[in-house]
Amino acid sequence: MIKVLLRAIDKISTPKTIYAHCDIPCGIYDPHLAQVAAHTVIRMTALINELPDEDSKDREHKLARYTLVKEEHAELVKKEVRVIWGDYFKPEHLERYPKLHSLVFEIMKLSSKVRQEINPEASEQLLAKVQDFTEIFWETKGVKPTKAPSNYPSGGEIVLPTKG
Amino acid sequence: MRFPLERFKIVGHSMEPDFYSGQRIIINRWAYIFSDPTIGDIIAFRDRHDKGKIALKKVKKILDKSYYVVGLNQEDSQDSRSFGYISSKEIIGKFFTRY
Repeated sequence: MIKVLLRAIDKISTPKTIYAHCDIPCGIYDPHLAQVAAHTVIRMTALINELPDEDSKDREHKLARYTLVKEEHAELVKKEVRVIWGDYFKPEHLERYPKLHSLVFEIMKLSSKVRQEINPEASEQLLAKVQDFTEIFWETKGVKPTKAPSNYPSGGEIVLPTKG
Repeated sequence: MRFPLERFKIVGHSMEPDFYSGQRIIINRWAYIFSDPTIGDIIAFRDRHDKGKIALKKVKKILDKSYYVVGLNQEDSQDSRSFGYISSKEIIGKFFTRY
């Protein structure tokens, strides 16, 4: 009852604005970096699998470098998706895309899996889930997402926003 | 003395998930007349860079009469991590309720 009364008062006298300041200009979100990071994980996994079996200093060195980059980019997928999920998506988006929470959960789990293992299948699955997430993101902004060849050594596609 | 309860509409995302942009809240301007803010309080205070603006944050640390305030959404919040401690003089009230 009090809430109804207050809402009625708001129509007569607008409430003041109170700012919950954001660190960056609100509205600047883009899952593109998450996709690029997922492609990088695929590429690093492939490069690790292409290394020769016999031990050598050069092999050890390359393995260390590829593994480090794979670790960093799997973590970057998590960070980018988590920020968009936590900061951009709102309850009304969840009503329209009820699978969003489970999709993010799957991305988090797959990102951990590709760090723990040298797993090409899991890396491809991660990219696919990130692209599902990207499509939902652009749809919520009223932008039609389209898939285009990535033109990366990792192959596959990348989801891009298009007009109309 | 002005009426203690004042209506506000939130703009920004730094207090999510507890407070959303567009949500309406009431601030109690008399909350700190007889007591000081404590850790965990959600407070309204004057923006140091724009005195005409009022900001909403949570008290995380207290040092004498200075308050370190943060957004609940620390991935995306401009708070004491960037502008430092605020003084008790800058505080105008305490979050009372949503409506």
